[in-house]
This record gives sequence, structure tokens and C-alpha cells, in this order.
Amino acid sequence: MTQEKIPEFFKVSHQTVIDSLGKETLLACLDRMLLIRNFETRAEAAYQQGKIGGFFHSYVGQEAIQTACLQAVGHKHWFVTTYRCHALALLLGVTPNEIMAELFGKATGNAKGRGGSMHLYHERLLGGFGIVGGQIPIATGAAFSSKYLGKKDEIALCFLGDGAMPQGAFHESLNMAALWNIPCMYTVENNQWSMGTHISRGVANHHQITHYLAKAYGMSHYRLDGMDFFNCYGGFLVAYQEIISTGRPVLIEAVGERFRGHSISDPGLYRSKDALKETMSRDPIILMKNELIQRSLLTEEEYKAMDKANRERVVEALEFAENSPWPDPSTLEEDVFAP
Amino acid sequence: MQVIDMREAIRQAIDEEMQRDKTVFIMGEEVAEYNGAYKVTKGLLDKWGPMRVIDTPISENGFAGIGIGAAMTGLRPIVEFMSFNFSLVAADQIISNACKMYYMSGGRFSVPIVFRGPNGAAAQVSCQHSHCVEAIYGNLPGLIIMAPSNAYNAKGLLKTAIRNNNPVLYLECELIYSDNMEIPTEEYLIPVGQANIVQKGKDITIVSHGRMVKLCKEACEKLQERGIEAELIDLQTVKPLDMETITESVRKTHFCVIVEEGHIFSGIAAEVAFQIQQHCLNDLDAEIARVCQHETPMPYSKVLEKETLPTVERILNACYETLALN
Amino acid sequence: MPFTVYMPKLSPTMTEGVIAKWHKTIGDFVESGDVLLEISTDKATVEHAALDEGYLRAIIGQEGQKIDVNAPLAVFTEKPDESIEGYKAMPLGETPKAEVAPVAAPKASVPVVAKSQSKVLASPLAKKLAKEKGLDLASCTGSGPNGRIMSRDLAKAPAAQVAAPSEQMIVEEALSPMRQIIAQRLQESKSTIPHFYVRQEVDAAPIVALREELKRLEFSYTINDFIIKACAIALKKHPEINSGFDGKSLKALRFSRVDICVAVTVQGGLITPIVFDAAKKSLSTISQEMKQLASRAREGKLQPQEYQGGSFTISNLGMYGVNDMTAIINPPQGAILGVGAAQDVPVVKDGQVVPGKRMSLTISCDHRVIDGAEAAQFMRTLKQLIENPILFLSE
Repeated sequence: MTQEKIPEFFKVSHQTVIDSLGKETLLACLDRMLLIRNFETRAEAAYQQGKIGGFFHSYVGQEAIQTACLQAVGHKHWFVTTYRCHALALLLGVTPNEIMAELFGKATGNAKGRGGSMHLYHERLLGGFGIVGGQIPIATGAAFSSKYLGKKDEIALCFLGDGAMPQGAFHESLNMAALWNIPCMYTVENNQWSMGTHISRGVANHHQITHYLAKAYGMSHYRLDGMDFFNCYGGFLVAYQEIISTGRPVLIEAVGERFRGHSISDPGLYRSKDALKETMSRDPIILMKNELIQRSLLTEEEYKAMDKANRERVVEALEFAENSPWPDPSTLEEDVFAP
Repeated sequence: MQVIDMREAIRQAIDEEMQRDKTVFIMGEEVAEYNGAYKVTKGLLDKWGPMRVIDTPISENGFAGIGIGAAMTGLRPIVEFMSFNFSLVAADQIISNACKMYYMSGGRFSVPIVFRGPNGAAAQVSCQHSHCVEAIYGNLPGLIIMAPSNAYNAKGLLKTAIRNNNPVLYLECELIYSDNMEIPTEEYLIPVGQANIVQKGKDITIVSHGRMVKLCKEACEKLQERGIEAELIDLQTVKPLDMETITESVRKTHFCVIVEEGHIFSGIAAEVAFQIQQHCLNDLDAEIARVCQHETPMPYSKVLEKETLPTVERILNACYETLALN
Repeated sequence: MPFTVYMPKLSPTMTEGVIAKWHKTIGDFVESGDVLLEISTDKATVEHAALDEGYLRAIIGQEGQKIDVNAPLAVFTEKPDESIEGYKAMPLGETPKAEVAPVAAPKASVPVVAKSQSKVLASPLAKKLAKEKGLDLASCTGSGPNGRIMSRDLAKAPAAQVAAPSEQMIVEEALSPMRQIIAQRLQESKSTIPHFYVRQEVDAAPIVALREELKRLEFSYTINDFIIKACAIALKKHPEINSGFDGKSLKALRFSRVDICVAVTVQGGLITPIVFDAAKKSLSTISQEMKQLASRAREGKLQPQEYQGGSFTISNLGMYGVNDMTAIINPPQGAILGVGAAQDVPVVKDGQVVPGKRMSLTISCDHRVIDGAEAAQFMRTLKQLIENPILFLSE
């Protein structure tokens, strides 16, 4: 068996990205990543106090990917993602208060307490989906709508995990998107683990699969370094421009890591301490911080202040959620049907 | 007035709604260039073009999901399943997404989609192609389920379904596509959750839906010869049920037989019967009877298929037994 | 401000954890993300990191100790020298249980239909209609399966005997002491004494007229007063009737005095106050005594010596308008007189049928001590006295 060749990352110069974005935007992106990090960490602690129930899938370690993506494409599109959806909601502007209240199951929550951690929404966010791969056709349909209604600058973005690639829905969607020229950006956030199964045990030819799938279905492919904000930003920007100009779908793979288990109940025993330590040495936030400090765009104190401010926003959200009322049980059967 | 078959009635409904609202489109296997596996969508591609009449590959989960995504983002899709047996491949999209979305998103995203196609048995199509899905999907909150039984209600119900802002399962039947009927040319709609009293009677209530209504009509004629005046109720909408019409009838006749093509365990008859006894126990002069498909997969052989499905004879026997007549 | 670190809920079902190993000691500065301790659950032993940085100032749970979820593990301060005196590490407030709307207690199961017709099969409709129309299901023939009655079968149903066939209820009731005694004595009397009866109709017109006359003169007498007086005189004349019998010794008892018991209806039964030495008392005395005795009897104020004993009893049901009354002997007495109402009846006088007033007297006698002839003679004397009350004056 010949050794799988690991394809190269999309080539992008950090300097180019820094120059084009500028200090203010870059700091704003770092700030958003810190918000996500603080939110996920403290919400997880709240879970461990019994305030949040059910499933909880942390985005810690993957912050660079969606932050860079949204910076590149903007908000005026349709967004669809997996159950690991807190970050995307925050990036689109859903307040930490509203998300935390939803996690606590309160009436002031994002979905009035009906959805929970896996089902967050925004006027541009179609969810948060619980069934692996189930969201991919939905995103394809949203892109279909954009095209049908003639919205030339509007696309749909579908985020999925590496574990969803084997699902039939993935291939059905790529096929139809390619057949019908549907302007959908499919981003595989490859954090290399399907719960406790390493991608090498779940996906044949996993290093090259997205490259060849894209080829098979006749669409472009990008491979991004998911721990590198600048690399992600550059890649997403180019991919987005391609979709807009060609009307063709695009398949992106962002290779990264998640620092926590698959979900809160996963103790992550499939990774050794040393391996995890090594993984966490490439913390996307620290990497970006260091790069910005190196280029004198940020100081350590400013970073600490930014971190602290976001921590406080999240503590505030915890208080808001704690003090919010429970949904009125008499409203249980409302809104099963739309009027 | 016009005399048309049920197939044409469905086609007219789709066509008229596509005319009325530009966001309405139809997709499914063979709906466009083939003019429909059962010719229901004949001519629509020529009229509306490939952007609105779309042939899909064999990817039920995929295109059902695409329909739902489109419905969430401003369009009103009609998704055809070549038969509802294939909807089971898309069950995750229907069950986890379509019927959950409005509630799950806290009222943010509605899903104005119609899933339509033939349901139930055809002619000897065997175990995997004969499912009646109303009881399977009926158990889940968030779906509207309709069962047209003739050209008139086919057109009126489908128009309502397309204009409704919720996911609708519209269950047709291959074996009655060719049934002719005189229907108006002017527009009319039949509301959700309204049953039709096909014929009035005072002696016994028969409740049914879909293709079985036709068999029940035949049974009613035979009952009439014996001087028994049956009141036949066609559900038209399976969920939500029109219990008002049904209970009013049972209070009058005191006897009830429910006829469905689907399987007996946990079928639609079980739900209707429960609700009847819940509201009318002391008006019943005998147990409620049901005539359903027997507890086996659908066999291929003509003789066995006939044996497992309801027949006019079985319906009559159920009536006589209920009335305690010989 | 000191802050507490709590035992985390590491899985949805975890309720408590064991401290496996502390990785920090008191006084250490712990960074956010540093491993603080290892916790064992039933599933695994996991490292738990500090969320917030601070100085570890107090360790609450020791290695090997089992701690509940949300109970305190350690206390931290932001500054190394901050005092933690007086700081109480409390368990984290329980998440308020979602106020589950009180589930309405399941409706009491439908009461089992009265079993009076339990063996009758009928449809719910038939049962309902039968009840409404007062029809007796038990007498219907059902045309339904297994003979089940259907609504159409009710058309041939007879109406229930009773307006609404109600359930026969037999309720056992304990007797009052008075009734117990009555029951016991009369059962014994009726079953052991050989009773025979002599009936005599008397013309009641004279005493009725006399009573009216006395009333006009403002003397109040009852018909029964006259009967008592007449009996007293008759009993003096016929001592064989003023007798009793001892059922055990089989000896006749000859009473020297005429003590007449008069039956009075009271609350809960019947009592027989005694007019002692009636033969020596005037009609007015007897009347007055009777009034008092009856009144006190009804008030329950009679003393035993006032109603226990007697040589003869009178039981008058005339006030109820009945024709006659045949009484049960009051042992050890030998006889009892039952009295009916004075009634207007056609009588033959001088060959003509004219209106008359007749009253029926029936004496019940113990044949062990009294013969028929004796009884008859007594009755003849009594009749004469009642029909000629002027004779009272001479006795």
C-alpha cells in the first residue's frame, strides 16, 4: 500500500492577509475568537454544575476556521452547521445572553428553550442540526433558493465534520450541487476525530478524500490549515469569490483539531496526554496573538484585557441565563404548526 | 364543469399554484422530461422550464433535504416521491427536519413544503413497494397528512396543501389515478382537517380514506339492498382528524366500522376508534370494528394480495357483525 | 474575593466523584487550564483543570474522599495574602427543578357499574337507554353476540316492577335495649304459650256518648279509660282471668290484686305502665293516672316498678282506626285484651238495619290456665259493663 500523499495547504501569505485586513479588523477577529473560547469554556463549567443538560459539543480549538470564514464572506448568506454550533451563532451576532439562556433551557433562550445546544438559529442561521450529515442537503436547498430567486451575491455555507463524509447525504448533496450549479460552499471541518474514531479508521484514503471527491464531482477543492487564521481567511476568500463568479459549488477541507472530547461526556481517552499536549501547542488563538504581537499590532496587556473583557461578557451571560424565567409549561403545545 | 381523472386533477392543482405563486416549484425523479412516472406532471416542464420542474437523481434523502432547505429560505417546493416507499430513505429529513423545524427553532423557520406521491398497494408490486405510510408518519407531531380519494378532493386538497405553511404529506394512490369525475372549473379549496360525508345514512357509520373509500361505496350499495342505510365518511385529511363530523355521525347511527388500507396494528383505525369511544362511548350499540390490511408484508401473488387487503366482502361482514345481523 | 471550586458533573448521570489525586498544594498559584486534581467516576478517572486562575488556599476534599457533584472541593483567592477567615464554602445551589406543572392526579377510574345487572350483557347504549327509561335489562332478550342486549331489544322490554329497579339493600340494624327485651319476651311468649282467642263485638255508643257528656262537663276521658275500668270490674268478678301461669313450675298463678298493664307506644318501642289495684279505683282516678303514666312513659321517666309486673294487659289500637287487634300475652300473665276502633257500622235493631257504633274486643288467653268457657264468660261480663257504663257507679 503506497503511503498516502498528504496534499498541501492552500498557499497564502500572512502578510497579504494582514495588509488587506488591517489592525482593527484583525483585532476584532481575535476578539471574536476569544469570545468563542471563553463562552465554550465557561458554558462547559456550567454544564458540570448541572445547569445545562443533554449534549454539549465544544468548538474549542477550531475557532480560527469559522471566524476566518465569516470575515471572508460576510453575513448576508445562508449558514448551516452541525451540533457544534455555538461559535457560528456568536459569529453571526447572536448574543451570548441568548445562547446561554437557550443552553439553560430558559424562556429567553434563542429558540425559547425548545432547541438546546444543538439547535441555535439566527435570521441567517438555519441551525444547528443533530443528525450527522442531515444538514448538508438543507444547505444545498438554501443555496438552491438563492439561485432560484436570482440573488447573485448570496450563497449558502455548509459546515460539516470529517465524520459526516461517509454519510450518503454528503454525496447526494455534492452530486446535485454539481449537477445543478448550486452556489454552495461545503466546508469539512476536519478535527480528525469522529467521537472516538480517528478519521483514518472511518474514511478511506482520508488524506486525499476531499481532493478526489471534489474532482469526481467536478468542483474546486481547497485545503486549509484550520489552526491558522490567516491561512483560513485567505482560502475562504478565494473560494467565496470563485463561487460568486462561477456559480459552482466548492469543497473545502479545513484541517484542525478539537481540544476537548467530541462532547462533554467524552473523556477523550483515545488520545494520549502527550498527543493532546502537542495538539494544544498549536492553539489558534495563541498563534494569532503571537503573530500580531510580533508585528506590533498587539501587546500582551491588550490581549489580557481582551480576554478578560470577553470572560466578563460570558459571566454576564451566565447570570442572565440563571436569572431568566423557565418557559411556561402551558405553552408546551404552541408553535408546532406555523400559522 | 369538467370531467377529468384524478391524475389530471392533481396536475391542474400543481399547474395553477405554479401560476399563482412564483416560488412554487416541483422536483422529483422523472417529473420533468419523463413527464412523471405516472404522468401526473405531464407537460409541466414544457410550460414552466427546468428551473421550476426539476428532475432529481435517485437521492431521496438529498432532494428531500434540498426541498426543506429551500422551504426554509423563501420557496414553496413540491417534492414528489415516486412512491412513498422511497420516502423512507428520506425519513430522517422528514422526521428530524421538516416537522421539527418550526417548533425547534422557536417559531423562526417554517417549512412550507408538500411531499406528494402514490401511497399504498398497486398491482402486485410486492413487499417493498406497497407501504401505507400514514400511520408511520402520523405518530409524529408537526405533519399534516392528506389522503385524496377522487378528482374533486384531490384538486381542492392539493391547492390547500401548497398554500399551507407547514409540511404536508399528500398521499395519492396509483390504482385510482384514472378514476373520472365531474369537477368545477372554477377554483375551490378544501380546508385542512375537514372530512366529507359521501352519503348520509342512519343505520351505521363507515369511516375511511384514500382508495378504500371506493370500496366502501360499493359496500354501501350492497347494504342498501338489504335496507341498511350506511353513512360513509371520507376523512380527506388523516391528520388532523375531523372528529366532529365522525362523532356526530356515530351519535346518530350508534354503529361504526373503520376501513383502512394500512396495517392493523397501531393504524389510523386504532386512533379513530379510540377517539370515537372517548367521545361517544354511551352512544355505541356495539364495539367499533375495523377492516385493515393483515399483519404480513405485502405478498406478490395476486391471490395472496387480495386476501391481505380489505375487500367489499370483508367490509360487509364487518358491518353485519357489528349490527349483529346474519 | 475568595472563590470556591466545586465537584464537576463530568457526565449526565454522575452524582458523586472520588478525589483520586491533587495536583496542587496549598499556597500554589494555579493558572487557568492547569490540572488541579484527578477525579474518579464509575466510568473513568479524569484530570480536571482549573477554570480561573488563583491561589489555592484551602483543600476541602481529601484524596480518596467521595464528594457529591456541586459540593465544594477547594477555596482560591485572587491574591496570595487575602484572608479567607469567615468564608464559608457552600455547596452550589441546586438547579431549581423545572416547575413541573403538577400533573393532575389521574382521574379516579370510572366506578365499576353497579353489579345488580352484572351478569347481563348489554351495549353501552342499551344500558344508558334502559336506565333512562326505567327498563329492566334482566328481563330483555339480547339479539347481539352472546345474547348481548342492544338498543333495539329494549322495545320489547317490560317496565321494571319497581319504577326504577333499585338495588335491594339489606342493612343490619342493632336493636335498642328496649326492643331487645320486647323481642325476646314476645318471641318466648308466642312460641311457648298456647294462645286461644275470643272475640266480642260491643256496642260502643254508650261509652262514646258518656265520654261526650263528660267532655261537655269539662272532664276529659279517653275511651280506653272506660275499657280499663270495665276490665277491672270484670276481672274482679272473674278471678280465673286475673291469673297467670309459670311455664317452668307449670303452676297457675292467682293474682290477688287487679293490676292492669296498659300498652303505650313510645319512641323506639312499646311500654306497659301499670294501673295498680284498678278494681278499687274510680274511673276518674284511673283516667288521671293513665294520663300521667302515659306522659311519663313517653318521656322515658317510668321506674321499673311502674311497668314490671301486672296481672292483665290491655292493648288498644283503636286510635289507629283498625277493626280489631289480636295481642300476644305478656307472661307470666294469663291473658291480654286487644281493642279496635269504635266504628260506624249498620246494625239490626228491632228487625231494622240502623247505624250503630261497634267496637271489637279480642282476648288472647293462655290455655294452660284459662278455658274457653271462662274466657267467654269474662267477655260477656265485659260486654255488659261496657255497654252499660252506669254499672261503674256501683263498683
